[in-house]
Amino acid sequence: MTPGVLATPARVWPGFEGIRPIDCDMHNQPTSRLADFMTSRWRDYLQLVGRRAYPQGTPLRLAARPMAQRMDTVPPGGGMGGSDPDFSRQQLLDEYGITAAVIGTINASCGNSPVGLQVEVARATNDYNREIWFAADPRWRSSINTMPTDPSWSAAEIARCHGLSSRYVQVYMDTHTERPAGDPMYWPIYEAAVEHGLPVAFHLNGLSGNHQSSGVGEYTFYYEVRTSLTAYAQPLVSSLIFEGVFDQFPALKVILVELEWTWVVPMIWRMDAAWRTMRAELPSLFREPSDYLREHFWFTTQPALDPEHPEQFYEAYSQFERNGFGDRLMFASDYPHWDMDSPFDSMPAGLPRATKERILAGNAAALYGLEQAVQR
Amino acid sequence: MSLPLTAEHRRKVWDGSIVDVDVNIEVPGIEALFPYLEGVWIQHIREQQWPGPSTQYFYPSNMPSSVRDEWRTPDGQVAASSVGLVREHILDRLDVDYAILNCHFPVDGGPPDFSVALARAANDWLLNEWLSADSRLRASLILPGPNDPAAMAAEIDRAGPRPGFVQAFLPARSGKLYGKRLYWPVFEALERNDLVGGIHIGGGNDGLPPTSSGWPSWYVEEYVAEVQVFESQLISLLGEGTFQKFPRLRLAFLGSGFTWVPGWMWNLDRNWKGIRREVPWLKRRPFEVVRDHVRFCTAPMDGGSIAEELALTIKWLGSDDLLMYGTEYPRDHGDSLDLLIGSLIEDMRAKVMSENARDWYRLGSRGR
Amino acid sequence: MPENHRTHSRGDGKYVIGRAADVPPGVRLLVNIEGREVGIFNVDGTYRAILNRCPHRGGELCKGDVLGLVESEYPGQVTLDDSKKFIVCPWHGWEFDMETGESWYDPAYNTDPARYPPARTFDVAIEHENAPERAPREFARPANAFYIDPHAHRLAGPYTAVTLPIEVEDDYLVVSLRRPRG
Repeated sequence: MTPGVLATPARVWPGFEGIRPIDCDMHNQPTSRLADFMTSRWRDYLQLVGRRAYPQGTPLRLAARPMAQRMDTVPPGGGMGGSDPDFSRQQLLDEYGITAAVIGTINASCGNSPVGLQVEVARATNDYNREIWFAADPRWRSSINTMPTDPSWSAAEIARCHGLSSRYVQVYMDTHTERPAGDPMYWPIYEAAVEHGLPVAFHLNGLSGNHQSSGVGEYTFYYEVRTSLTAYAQPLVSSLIFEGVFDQFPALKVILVELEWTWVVPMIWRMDAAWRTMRAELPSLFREPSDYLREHFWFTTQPALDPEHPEQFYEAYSQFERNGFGDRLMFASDYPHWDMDSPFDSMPAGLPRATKERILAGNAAALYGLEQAVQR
Repeated sequence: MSLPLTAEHRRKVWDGSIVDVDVNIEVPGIEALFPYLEGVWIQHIREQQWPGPSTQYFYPSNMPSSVRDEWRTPDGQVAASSVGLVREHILDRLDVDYAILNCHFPVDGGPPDFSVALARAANDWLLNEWLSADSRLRASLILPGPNDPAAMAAEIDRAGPRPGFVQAFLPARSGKLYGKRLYWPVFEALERNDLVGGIHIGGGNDGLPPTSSGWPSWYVEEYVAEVQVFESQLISLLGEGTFQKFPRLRLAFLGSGFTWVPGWMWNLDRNWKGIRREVPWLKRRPFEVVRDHVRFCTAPMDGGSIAEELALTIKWLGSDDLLMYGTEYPRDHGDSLDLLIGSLIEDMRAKVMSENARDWYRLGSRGR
Repeated sequence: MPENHRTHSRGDGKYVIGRAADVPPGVRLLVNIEGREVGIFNVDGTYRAILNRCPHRGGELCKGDVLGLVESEYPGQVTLDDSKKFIVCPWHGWEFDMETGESWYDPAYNTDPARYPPARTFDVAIEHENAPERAPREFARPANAFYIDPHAHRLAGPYTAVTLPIEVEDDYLVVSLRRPRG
């Protein structure tokens, strides 16, 4: 299959004929070639000391399947799922007829390390994605990895990457930062993102210096860690809104990746109710909290909603839409993780055609400024 | 804005029985407990000139949200600090059949013997000065700190059997998640004494920040984010098999709200299907376990303003039994009784307003 | 695991897979029978055949791990019943009983019957090529009505993986794809 040719998907998906998805969350796994993009000082350091990264405190809490990957994503030549651009292209882009996929390289930082190593790994990852993945297929896009502990370096890195390629389509931030996301210390990152017209995407990275998995300390089981994505999003959103980040940066767009979406409507209800009796604390906030949530946030389909009864999907999505979020949900596969979704399994086939198109491609195309290919 | 909770309004909107499962009271000052404290602690308190633990962190007294207008006293009494006030504002005015007192008295964390002494004194005070003063009152036990589960269990065994105690106050910010096995003595004691474990707003969290991304800056920011504390407690209790180890255990979530529950539980059910082998004691879907073992106070409602929307979310709870009405007196989170009643189908109203609580807390039976 | 192993139709609805000796305990084959992929497993000496399609979201079921049954009555007590084997889908990790195809709990609510039609069970016989023709057996089991095991919430019937009973006679494995009843 020649890269660059708009591939016909491997099979026809009833109810989704002609829809060509955009994937907002794919996780590649850099190989040892990442070292080629590092200086010898830190390459040697890694040889000597290693990454020494999370999860130091919980060595027995094993992810479902190694690296939380789908076992059949291991490339024919071996290695981790997502490590071979060609095999990933085949299994993901060609299989589903995806026209663009946004790579988010997680574990691309190592919070409990010298700052020099942290920024080196983030920078090398950005270069690796460009040199190896962009070259492999025109459909790959990438996030710009930042280092929240060094916001001014991060701002410079955003500028550098944006200058090198327009295929960096977003800035990557971590859900588990040391201060809540809206804290003014991170504002240089948002400023740089806005200056270069890029949205900021939050994803569970797990490797910042903060290893507290919940608001009440460490979880015991992988089941808890994996299922608590909503809980990682809520303080992050509350902080961004109430710290006035969107008053400071009215053009800022935030994507919550792999953080689900059914919590959004109850959260606007809670924020607005609290605001009525607590607004004296923040006289400078211009608008109702829910207005900020509606104006500035995007969400992904991952992890896919599987309610108790099938009709509840329609009910929950309708409620989401009615409350102002109809253009905000975007398909994400989470390839190659074990709980990834095919685009055509991430939602019921019974949704209206226009809704399916929006979620699978239209909303992402509008946000990222990509072309939406729909064959009829 | 919600209408003031007056007697007329109450009768107009709901004419049936009411049980209020969350009446937050406060110890008016540490001297109130002196009759119940040993000399060594009174001396310690006097030497340090300690007025007693403060609830200002969670409920700054000048914030409108801390006390509803109609529950502020013109003469500056601490809100919710006397039986008289609770009678006036809740029991008599709203014609409530039972009210459950949750005394927010933060004695968790710090020197364990001091914590134990204060908890005991507070429970004796509750018994003598509240529970015996009005037969409509019930109360939650105050427990010493989560850093000493054995002491928590001992207090449940000591004071739990006293008439009027129906629950133990378990602060939501417990520093370690309640599902952890080190808390088994506490749940064992609750089961043994047939008391509910009430996970309530509060707690010192053993010094940890209350989110997975550090300390929030603003009060409203922190308040809004607080749901994730309860979410984490719930998944911990379920994932660690607390309800399989203690099959008769009953819990209540107080001050957590409930509109986040369906979405949260759908996630738990979905992931359980693929990760069951890690938590094999969960032989049923977690949502079904919740329906058997957990109840949620209706306050704060966090339900928006459109009855049909809230009704949809309530429908997703999949059970008539899960909600128990509470005023969360004296707090003001904008809860509207109209909205609540309007979003419940008729058959569910009596259950939510009183029957679920009567059942859960065994009110009116076996001397409770 | 060898894939797309060629099978040989006998023309009577049965297919010769290959030699039993090719599939010793712990080994599996992926074979192609009239365009359908079927995984052949030797589980502790017993042969199992399962359609390579997970009824949940269509993943390649037969590429997953074969695991014993992990059970617990309460935390603090965890056991493995190695006599009960489950094929675990490499996608979302759902467990399917290798004998009956039933999953451990009910996937009914999350499986769209329009997209993943009810599975059919077929019987498989493994016979020696030269053995006398055996009398046809009641191989095909009709799709059952729903029942739910109240303890484990297992749903039998349409939402099971397709299993194909498999036997060995002499050296050969034979799979039969008889048209189902009902």
